[in-house]
Amino acid sequence: MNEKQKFELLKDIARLLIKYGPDTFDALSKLLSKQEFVAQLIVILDTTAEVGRRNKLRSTPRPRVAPARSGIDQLLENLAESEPEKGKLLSAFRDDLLAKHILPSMKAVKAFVSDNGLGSLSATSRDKAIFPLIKDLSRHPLEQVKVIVERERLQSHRGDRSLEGWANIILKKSHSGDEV
Amino acid sequence: MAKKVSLINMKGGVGKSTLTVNLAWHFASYRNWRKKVLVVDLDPQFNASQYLLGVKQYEAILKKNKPTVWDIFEHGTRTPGGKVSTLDPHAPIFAHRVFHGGGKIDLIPSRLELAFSLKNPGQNKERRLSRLIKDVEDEYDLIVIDCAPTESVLTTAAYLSSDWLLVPVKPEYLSTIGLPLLVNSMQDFKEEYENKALNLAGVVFNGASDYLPEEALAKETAKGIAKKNRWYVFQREVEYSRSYPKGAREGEPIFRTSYSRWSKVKNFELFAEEFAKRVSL
Repeated sequence: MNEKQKFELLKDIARLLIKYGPDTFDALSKLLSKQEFVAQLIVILDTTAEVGRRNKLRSTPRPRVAPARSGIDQLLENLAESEPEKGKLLSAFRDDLLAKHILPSMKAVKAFVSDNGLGSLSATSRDKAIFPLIKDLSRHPLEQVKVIVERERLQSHRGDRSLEGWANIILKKSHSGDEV
Repeated sequence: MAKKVSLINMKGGVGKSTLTVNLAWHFASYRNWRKKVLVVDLDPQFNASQYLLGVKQYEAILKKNKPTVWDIFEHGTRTPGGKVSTLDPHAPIFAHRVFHGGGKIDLIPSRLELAFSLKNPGQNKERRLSRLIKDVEDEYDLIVIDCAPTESVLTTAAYLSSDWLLVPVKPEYLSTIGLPLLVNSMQDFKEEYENKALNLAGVVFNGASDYLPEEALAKETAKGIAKKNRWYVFQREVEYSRSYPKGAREGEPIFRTSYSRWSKVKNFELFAEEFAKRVSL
């Protein structure tokens, strides 16, 4: 142990002293002075370390879960080859979803699933729901996907509800009274 | 055949449009209802149209000169040349939303110019909406009419087009004054149109918090008027929630408004279920 290491240890002991108080340290030093106790402690620590090592070796490494987006990319690539039009449609839909231009919340996603009779969604967050949503849509016939996607795009216009927008409609002479 | 219900109160600001749109959403899209609903915006202030459509869709209707509820009242008016134009009953109906399972919300939007119809009644204008509804009612399960808070040709048109009236009342002093006005209006109508059956689905307290003494007093007054006229008062009051105005801004019903409280959503659901029982939906 060099001087630097000694100093670091001293610093750590000082910190622990502040944390646990001098009485605890005093009691522990008395315990550590007993040879029997020290021998028992060494056995316990050795056993714990060995068990830990074995468990680490036994446990197989968790397979790396591919991020949801790459799953979608793969799906859309396959779709682009087998059904190009549907692939293009769902690719644009995916982009709009990621940009939150459509279905901006999990509540909206759930409502979309319910309104269109899609399969139940087990995802707990919006981000996690995007992949299963696209996957589910990809199983439907092209014409049905077209209707669902276009309808949602149209509905996204409901986002424009500004007072300024309404004021323009109400005050614009071009839209009012021309037939009267 | 559709159940035809007008939401009416001679007082403005009691939440007629909000209730109309939320009821439409509930029965078209909620759980197992999936009904075909037509919303008729019969108010020149066109709040129900604003709620459902948003700026762009509404603007598109105007730009394309698509017929609105105004056209229903003004088509058929004899011009100085003696001509009478006709209107396809489906022309003013805007398909708003379709839901899996058969539910849908259609809308006959309104526009400011409807106010001109108020200035120029006559020529049986009050009958034109009921005629149009008769032509399309088999296509719907529920038709909800959002009325203007005035006694006019529009009110008569709503009475003639409805089987039921739903009266939202805000539990506050000025709002309850709208009730005697409604009693008069209905009596006048019944004298004029003896053969037309008009049932009152009931009075519903809207925006209730059940807290202020002033509110309790207003409720007692309204209940007194209702009892005197043998009107049903809904057991379920629609509780005040900030999610209603928020939902109007988002174009969503309360059960889809972001961060709406479950208790408020449930409260509206229970009211809607009571309403459905009242009108045998």
